[in-house]
Amino acid sequence: MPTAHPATRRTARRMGTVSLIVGIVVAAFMVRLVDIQVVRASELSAESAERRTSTQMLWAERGRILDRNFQALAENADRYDVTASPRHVSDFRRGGVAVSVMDALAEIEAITGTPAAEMYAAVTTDPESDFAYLSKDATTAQYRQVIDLDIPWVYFERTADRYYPFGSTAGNLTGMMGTDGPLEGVELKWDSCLQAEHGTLTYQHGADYVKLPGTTQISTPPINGGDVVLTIDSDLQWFVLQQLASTGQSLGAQSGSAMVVEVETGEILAAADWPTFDPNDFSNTPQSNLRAATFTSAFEPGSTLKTITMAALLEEGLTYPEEQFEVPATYAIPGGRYIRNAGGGAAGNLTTTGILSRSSNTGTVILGERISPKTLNKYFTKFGFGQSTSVDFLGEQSGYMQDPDTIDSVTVHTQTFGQGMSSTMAQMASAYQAIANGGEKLPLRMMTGCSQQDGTFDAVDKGDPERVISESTAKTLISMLETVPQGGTLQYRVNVPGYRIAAKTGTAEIAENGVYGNERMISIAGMVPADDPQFVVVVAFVKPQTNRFSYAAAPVFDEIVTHLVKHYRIPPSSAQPTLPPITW
Amino acid sequence: MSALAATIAPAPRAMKAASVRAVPSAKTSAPPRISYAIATLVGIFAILAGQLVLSIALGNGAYAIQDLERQLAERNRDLSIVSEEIGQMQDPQTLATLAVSLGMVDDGDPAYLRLSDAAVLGSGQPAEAGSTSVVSVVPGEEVAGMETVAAAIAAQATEGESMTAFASLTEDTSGGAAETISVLEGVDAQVPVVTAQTSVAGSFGGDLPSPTTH
Repeated sequence: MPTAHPATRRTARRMGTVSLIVGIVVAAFMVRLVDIQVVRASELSAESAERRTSTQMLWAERGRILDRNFQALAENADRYDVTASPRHVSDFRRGGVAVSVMDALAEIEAITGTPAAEMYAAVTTDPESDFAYLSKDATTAQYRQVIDLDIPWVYFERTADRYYPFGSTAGNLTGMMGTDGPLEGVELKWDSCLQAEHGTLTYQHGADYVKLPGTTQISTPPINGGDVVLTIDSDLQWFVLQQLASTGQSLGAQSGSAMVVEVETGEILAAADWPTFDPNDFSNTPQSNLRAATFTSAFEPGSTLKTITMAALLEEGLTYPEEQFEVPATYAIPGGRYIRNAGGGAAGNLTTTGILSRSSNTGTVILGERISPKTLNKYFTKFGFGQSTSVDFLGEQSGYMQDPDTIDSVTVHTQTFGQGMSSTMAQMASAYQAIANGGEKLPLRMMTGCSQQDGTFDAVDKGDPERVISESTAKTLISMLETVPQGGTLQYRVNVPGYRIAAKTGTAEIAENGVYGNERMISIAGMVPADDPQFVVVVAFVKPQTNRFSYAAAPVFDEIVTHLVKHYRIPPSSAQPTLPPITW
Repeated sequence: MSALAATIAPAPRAMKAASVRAVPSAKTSAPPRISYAIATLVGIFAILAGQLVLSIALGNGAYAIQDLERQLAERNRDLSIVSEEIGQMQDPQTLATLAVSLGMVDDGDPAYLRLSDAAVLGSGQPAEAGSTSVVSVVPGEEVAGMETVAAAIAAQATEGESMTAFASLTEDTSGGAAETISVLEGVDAQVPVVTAQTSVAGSFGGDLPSPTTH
């Protein structure tokens, strides 16, 4: 049997040894491979992903509040909090020049205004900390300036700030945002439209934190808020507010409010309150100013309500404009009480028109005895008193009316001239809108709708018109109201050449602690042009001091009406009025 | 492979010719040709180079995206600054304060000419200089302060941050790479540009404008 050549055996052994070593090495690698790829695969994969994956917040913008011309009354602004890592705070070199910590903080102070000493305290209170605020709410321009300082231990946090470009002009309506959310007004009332939801983005990054292409994934998409579109005309709102402030200051009044309503649509064009506040900075504003008094304050309206009583009487056929009365200066009512007039002109030989025009309390009470409390209450309710308007503003009051079945013997008379019941300015404007619109009341509106970011527009339901009185009654009533500036309580005080104006004054006594005192609320409600009413204007001042008569509000009413016909290009009245007589 | 087959193939015939014969030592195989090795190496390096180029391209893309995102953030900041300033300038209070400071007045006594009979409605008296003023509507707010704020806002319109922001909205001031700028230009090119329409001589008998609407 042939034996193998020795060299061949050696080669075979060597080959065997090498194969064994290679096999062992390969087996070791295989074991390692299985360990990494199979046994610990998920654990290592998760660890790897954790190291390479970052999460980024995707900002969503809160919706804006827009006026009827899409001018922003509230929008968003970027702000930045300047922060630092105290344990890294130290002197540093910039462009070869040594910069001390205090020098750096002084540079930040020059930009943001935050005192350097305050910032120094923030970074030295806990030197081992990794986070401290240096300055808050820096503007974008300030943020850029601080970046340019090239301070190695300064960082930034972006924050969203609510910004009101028109400041105090519509602050009473927009409300404002606090640190935890909306606080007042439209911001709170229609938060469901405005609110935004931030999203999140995950991505994998390299060692230098650059996003790896193809690894970005939107975990939660950001949802921007919708824009609330109001019916307010901010230019008109500003003008009305200026007039209120100017006259209110000269009257020494506690406050003043005014509302302008478009007759054809029932849309509120202006709802101003003085004094008001700037929603950009309301920290020192008294709580009493942080509101929309046109909706949230209910007062005894006084004589502007006589128009509504007269509407009920005319509609029920219980009087007519030319009916003649010998109106007494005082009128006794059950219980030993007397009704008196504000002035001598409110008594004597007056017609029904004269009773309204000269605002006779005694004449109104005499006429009011012709209508049952229940029927009168029905008309008050139809005109919108005793219930919130369809605007349903935040904190809106519904006013107060006594139940006609249980009404007391005094209020049953005084409510005919607006005492013993209460209403808001919005209710009064809505009632006069019904008269101006030929007896058909349109629901008041202040919000057109919510404009969503996807382009859809969720319009607010306009509601259904409601006929309150007949068209002929409305026309008759308007012609009676036209006599007020012609020969009544506003004679020589309201006059816009070329335009016919219908209006009614009101001087209400204010009850405090259950007792009527010397304080008054004076008001005027009216419409222009009387021959084709386009706008209803209501003006009121609370507790005027230098003049407590209703005509003291006339300058504001006159200015607003003049501005309206100019601003909205209303053609002058074409025909001279034929008005019913006031006296006989 | 073919060389090896050629060497071994004649063996059966040789065994028939001589039954017992020492097996000749196996011929050493021909050394592999150098061209195969070179081709293999070139192939490997080509693959490696291709992968490298692909990685560089991907890496560059990532940096380009990051640079564009940074530029987008900067432009958004510009937009934020400009929007804020425009909002301030549109504020009726600011506009009125500036108008009054320039001597403008509101004529509260307008007059109208009725076309039917040429009647003048209203007095038509001109407004008196200084008859209009702006009052504060917020307690504690001084009119002088309002005027200062309005003047500051007006100054911003000509020399403030917005001018810088406006400038940066139309040109890249960040010193970004040229390729990045070309990308931005590509975006701009998608926005329809409406150029000023020059007047057509003679169409309206002079230099009257004849704008084209779209």
